Amino acid sequence: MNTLPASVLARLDAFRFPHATRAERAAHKEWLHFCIHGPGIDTIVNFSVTGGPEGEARAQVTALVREEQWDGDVEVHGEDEVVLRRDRLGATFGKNRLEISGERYELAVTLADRPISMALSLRPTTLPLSKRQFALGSAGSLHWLLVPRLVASGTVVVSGRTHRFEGAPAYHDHNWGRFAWGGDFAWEWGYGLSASATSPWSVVFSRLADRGHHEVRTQALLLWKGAKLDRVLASRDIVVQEEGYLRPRRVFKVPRVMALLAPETATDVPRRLDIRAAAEGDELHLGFEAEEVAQIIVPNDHDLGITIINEIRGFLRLSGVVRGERVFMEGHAIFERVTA
Amino acid sequence: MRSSSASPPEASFAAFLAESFAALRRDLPWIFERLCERLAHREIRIEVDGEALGLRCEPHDIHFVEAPPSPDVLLRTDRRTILDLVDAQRTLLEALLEERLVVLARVEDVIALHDAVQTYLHGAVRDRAFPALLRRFRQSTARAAGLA
Repeated sequence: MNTLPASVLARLDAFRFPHATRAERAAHKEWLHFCIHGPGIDTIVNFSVTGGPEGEARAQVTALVREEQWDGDVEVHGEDEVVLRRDRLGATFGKNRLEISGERYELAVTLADRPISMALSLRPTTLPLSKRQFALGSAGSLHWLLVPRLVASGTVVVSGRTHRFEGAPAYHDHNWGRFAWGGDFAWEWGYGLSASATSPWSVVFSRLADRGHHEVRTQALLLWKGAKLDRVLASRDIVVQEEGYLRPRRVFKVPRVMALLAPETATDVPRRLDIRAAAEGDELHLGFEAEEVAQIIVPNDHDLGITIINEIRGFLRLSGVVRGERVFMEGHAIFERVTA
Repeated sequence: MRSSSASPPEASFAAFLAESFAALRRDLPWIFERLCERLAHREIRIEVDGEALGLRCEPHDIHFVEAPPSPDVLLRTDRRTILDLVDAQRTLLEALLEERLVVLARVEDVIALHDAVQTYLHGAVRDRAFPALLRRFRQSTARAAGLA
C-alpha cells in the first residue's frame, strides 16, 4: 500500500479552533473521529473541541469499544486541561493525546472512569479528501476532511483484557464548522473497509438531510481505488432504500447519564440500507446490514431536546462496475445516523 | 425553617443538592427557572440513606427547609441507587420496581416531580460545573461506604 507523504498530512489535517477569532470560537465545533477494526474488537475514538460562550476551549474525548458488548465513556475536559498546538495537529485533553508524528496519527487514551486505555498508531494508505462548506440548512455549515483507509497498530486494553494488533483496517474523518446541535439537519455517514488487505477498494457514503430525514439535501457515494479517489457518484445518481428497523434489547448510550433522558431502546436505525448509484455506464450497489448500535447523546444547544448520534456497526458489501472494471469488496463498516 | 442560604454539612446530600441548584441558578438560569415552575407550590421531602431534607418550591426559587412531616411529595432513595442511575447500571423503572426509589404523592405531583427531575438532568448535562460536583458526590459516597 502507498504511504501518504508526511508533509501533506501535516498540512491538511490540523485543528482549526486555535486559528478562529474569539468571536468565531463561541459557535465553533470540531472533532477528529477514528474507527479501528482490530481482531475481536472495534474501537471508536473521537477528540472534539467546542467553543464556550467566552470563546474558551471545551474538550471531550469519546471512546467506545466493542468486544462482546459495548463499553466506553465521554470524558469532559475544561480549558485548563486542554492543549492545542497551532503549528500542526497536536492535542492533549487531560491524560489523552492525539498528534501527527511523521506519516502517522498517534492516539493515546486513558479514560478516568472506565477501565479502558489505548495506544494506537495509524498510517493512512489513501489520500485525504477535503470538502468545504457543507450547508446544514439554515443551521450552519460543516467542513470535512476524510481519510477513508488507514492501517492501525497498537494496543487497546479493556478491563484488563489486552488486544494487540498490527495492520488493522481503520477510518478517519475530521469535521469542523459553526452550527448548533438541535438545528434542522441530520446526517447519515458510513464507510466500508475490505476485510482483505489486498483489496484496493474503500468506500464512503454521505447524506445530509433535514432533521426528520424527510428531505435529502445532498448525498454522495465515494469510491477509492488504492490511495486515490476513483469515482464520485452524486445526489441525482443515487437511490437509497431502507428496510426494517434495528431492534436491540438494550442500547449502550454515552454519556451514561443520558440514558435517564433517552431511555428508549427503539431506534429509527434501518436494519438494512440498500444504496444503488449509476451514471455514465458505471454502477455501484452497496448493501449495509446493521448488527449493533451504540448511541452518543448530545444535549441541544438552544432547547431542552437532545440529538442522538447512532454509531451503527455492521457488514457491508459493495459490487459494481466502474469504467469497465469490476468492483467488489466486503467487510467492516460503521454507519453514523443522526436522529432528533 | 432553614433558608437556601444556610449551609448543610459538606458531605450531606443536602449540600450536594444545594450546590447543584446554585450552579444551575448561576450558569443556566432559564433551566433553573423552568425547574422552579415545574415544582411550584409544593413541599417535598427527600430521604437519602436516612438523611431527610425539605424543599419548599416557589415559582422562581427553591428553598431548603426542615423536612416536612406531611409533604406533597416524598422521595426516598439511597446514594448507591442515585449513582447506579447516573451510570446506567439500573433504569428508573428497575429502581422503582425494586423499591430502591420510592415516590409517594398524588398522580399530578408525581408527574410534576418527573418533569422536574428531567429538567434538572437537562441542566446537569449542560452545566460545566456538574462533572466536578458529581466527582465529589462519588467520593463522599465511597467514603461513607468505607465507614459503614
